[in-house]
Amino acid sequence: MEDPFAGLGMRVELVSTDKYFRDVSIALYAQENTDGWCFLVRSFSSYDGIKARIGFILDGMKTLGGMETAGEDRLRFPCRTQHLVAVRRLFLQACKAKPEVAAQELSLSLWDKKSELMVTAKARGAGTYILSADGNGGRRLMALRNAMIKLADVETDEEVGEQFYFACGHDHHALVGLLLQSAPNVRAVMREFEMNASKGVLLAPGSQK
Amino acid sequence: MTQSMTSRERVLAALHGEQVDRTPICNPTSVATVELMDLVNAPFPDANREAEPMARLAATAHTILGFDTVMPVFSIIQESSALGCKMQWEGKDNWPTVRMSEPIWEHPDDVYVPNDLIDHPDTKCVLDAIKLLREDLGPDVAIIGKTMGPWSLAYHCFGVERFLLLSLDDPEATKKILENLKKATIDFGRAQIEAGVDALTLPDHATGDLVSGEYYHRYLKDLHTEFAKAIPCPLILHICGRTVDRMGFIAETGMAAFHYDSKNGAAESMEKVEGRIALVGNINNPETLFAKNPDDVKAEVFANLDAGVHMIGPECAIPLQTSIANLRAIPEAVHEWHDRH
Repeated sequence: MEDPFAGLGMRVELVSTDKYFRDVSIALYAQENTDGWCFLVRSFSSYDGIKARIGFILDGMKTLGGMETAGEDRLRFPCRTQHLVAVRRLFLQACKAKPEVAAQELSLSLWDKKSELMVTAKARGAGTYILSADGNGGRRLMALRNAMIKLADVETDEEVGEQFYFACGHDHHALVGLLLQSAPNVRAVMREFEMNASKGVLLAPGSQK
Repeated sequence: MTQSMTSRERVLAALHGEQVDRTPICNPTSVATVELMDLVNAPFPDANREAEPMARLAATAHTILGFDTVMPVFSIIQESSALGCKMQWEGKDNWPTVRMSEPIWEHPDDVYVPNDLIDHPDTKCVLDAIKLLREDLGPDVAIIGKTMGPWSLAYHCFGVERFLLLSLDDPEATKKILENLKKATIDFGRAQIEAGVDALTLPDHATGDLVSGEYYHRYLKDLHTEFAKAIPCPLILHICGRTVDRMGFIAETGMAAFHYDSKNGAAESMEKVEGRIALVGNINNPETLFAKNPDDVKAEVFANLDAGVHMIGPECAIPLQTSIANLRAIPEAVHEWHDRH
């Protein structure tokens, strides 16, 4: 029997029950080869329709994160680097997208409820973005930039507090557009990560609520 | 490395304290994951309540992961369900639990273990799964069953807080409860032997965080000694947490092995048991198997093998989201270590 787990690479994210397709688990595997990093979306379910579901998620990752096809069920960033933190978020977001609605690339702007300002990430080339607002953004822009660090593992230049950049030196407009929408709620996003991590752990009866 | 024993021979030899051709890779508790559930179409809760999916999922420990054992009783609630506890069966990616906030018994005299406990659907499915596993895997793979000890059952049936307070206030009533519950442990254990298991895990959650070594000696040592005589197969006692303070007592019970937690060092534990009982487990679940990578898993396996631990496996039921690569690192590390030694 062929080993179903051979050659997958390192599992970097898992949706243990896909709410849009029969509660199957769907995982994101990272593989490094001579051409750089690529990512495989995989489920071990054999239900009819699973291929289409995986296809939908792959399409979503391409649209929402600017990834490109790198072989069957495989994607990569055009820069061929890993961007592990960002790709995990992108994968989870693509899995959450409603199947009846085709994904759309998100803009580099958002209405920030807290500051009541329109915040924009302006591309400055070579993977660098600077946040600005249509008013006095001040510390709020710094907070949103810090959120982007958590969501995308981007680098910062302390001399320009509203600026961040991708270490690969390539632009990632779609990815920034996606993650910027989550930046105002970064705590909730992180809590979700933590909750996922603690799910499925069997506690001794004395430790159960 | 030349292997001359079957998986089953290897595990049984280790449990009997005999020579082995290599260290057995054992899972006295669950190694089920959501990905394995999908692979064999055996998701929770079905795999906790129906024999066929239960057997299919259990078999993957050997056929996919490369362990020497399979263990179909993934959860710790089958008997409690049969005793009438209120259950929360949960979905695919979470463990079934007993609603201990709604205990079914209040007084020692309330304890009632029916003679047909093993005919309840949630215990019978285990017996049927064991038969299926023996048919499917043949005689060469070790099948481990599970029968819960009376301390754990008392938590489920009386509620943790109430039972612990009772153990402080009324030792005689506590002993009476344990005495009355032991029938469940023995009956279910014997039924699994009849169905075809080679050994039984006996979890009894007198855990290091809630119960002292002195408590273990006072309430459980004699009962566990009695189980070792009354249940005619090798028993693997499982207690979570830091348990070095009671390992000396456990080693005197006549149990074949102790399934121990990563909160105990391998070398200190080996020193404590002085060869009187085999040790198995210790590979950390939440930090290593769940969250780290195969090299980290292998490092823990090597530490156990270097310390002379008798059987290698995870410390407890693994998180359901654990990666297959990390689980496979356990047998890979055992083979690598033996190739070098």
